[in-house]
Amino acid sequence: MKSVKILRVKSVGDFYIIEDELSRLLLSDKKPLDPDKIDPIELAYLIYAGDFKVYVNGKQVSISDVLHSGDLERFVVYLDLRNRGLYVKPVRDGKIDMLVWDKKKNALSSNPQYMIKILDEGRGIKTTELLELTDYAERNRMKLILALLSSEGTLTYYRAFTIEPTQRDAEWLRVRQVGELKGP
Amino acid sequence: MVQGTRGKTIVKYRGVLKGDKVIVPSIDESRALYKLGFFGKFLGKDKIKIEEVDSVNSPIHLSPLEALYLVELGLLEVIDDGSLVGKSTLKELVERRYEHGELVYELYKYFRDRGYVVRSGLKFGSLYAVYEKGPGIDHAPMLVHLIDPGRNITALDVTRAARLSHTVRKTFVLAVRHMNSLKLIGFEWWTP
Repeated sequence: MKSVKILRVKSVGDFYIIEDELSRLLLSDKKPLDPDKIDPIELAYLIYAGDFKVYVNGKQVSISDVLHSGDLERFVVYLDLRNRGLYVKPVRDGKIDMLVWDKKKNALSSNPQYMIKILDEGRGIKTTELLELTDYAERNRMKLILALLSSEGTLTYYRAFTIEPTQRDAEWLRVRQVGELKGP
Repeated sequence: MVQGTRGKTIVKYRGVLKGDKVIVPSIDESRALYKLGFFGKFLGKDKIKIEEVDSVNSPIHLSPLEALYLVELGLLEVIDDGSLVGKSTLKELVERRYEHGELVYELYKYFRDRGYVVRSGLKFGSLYAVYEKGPGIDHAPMLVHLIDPGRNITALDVTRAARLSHTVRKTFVLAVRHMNSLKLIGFEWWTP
């Protein structure tokens, strides 16, 4: 039978922090990037995975208790990526929703390879914002992934990238420049 | 006849305005224009390869976009009822045919000026199919969609177009106007 450990955290601002040394030890094998500061989405995942009973400020909580308003979509995407074996770090108060590392990469010693932006069905993204995100991702050698989330929670991922067509040699351009025309 | 930038003479092709399209009555000129960069479509003929052009005996008709571009290049003159049709009239025809016509033409010119062959993407569900060499030569054109200025890109925009591109094995591109220039964003399916 699976033994369920008890994790004690306290709520500080938008995050949770580990309340005692035992909880810190319990979490150490989960290799969080920042063991002192757990995102609500990460905490919800620990509850979801069934390894922990989580106590916030002394009271046992469920997934719905720890997720903030507007976090459900992010949790759905986080869960999908984690279930596929990727290391994922939620980003709060940023223009993107999470950072992702390839399966074989070490999240503690390497930069993320992907930036995830959720596009929820029915809501859009401003073209300016999408361009800024693709530029930002490419400048930082990351790939921008749009996670398209249907109203029923189905996910499809697309990579978005900027395209700059290279100048090609074409006869109609040569004609204009040189004044030669293979005419009738 | 006009002078090219290096002083040589350019022979202008001649087209006749019919509605908002332009017919090139001369078969020889039609063949030459098509060979020049896949301009126009031969009446009653489809998917003509370059090596087949000399055996085609029908005139081409040009879209208003193609006609305007060729007129701007100085390669075409368009006649209507015996009078020369100016660029401004052709621009009006483009704007009448397309929503955001000015932008639609800007995007056409953007690719043509970079040496790409631009054809209608209607059969693929896009505004343009853009080829490096031409239809029938390279089989995987970019399918280019234009996003209305000021409108958000939705999840549906991405899936609808990208699914289609995936089905027809083409690269799917959204063109948007940003800071007074055209920007292209490509999309491909990603499997985590």
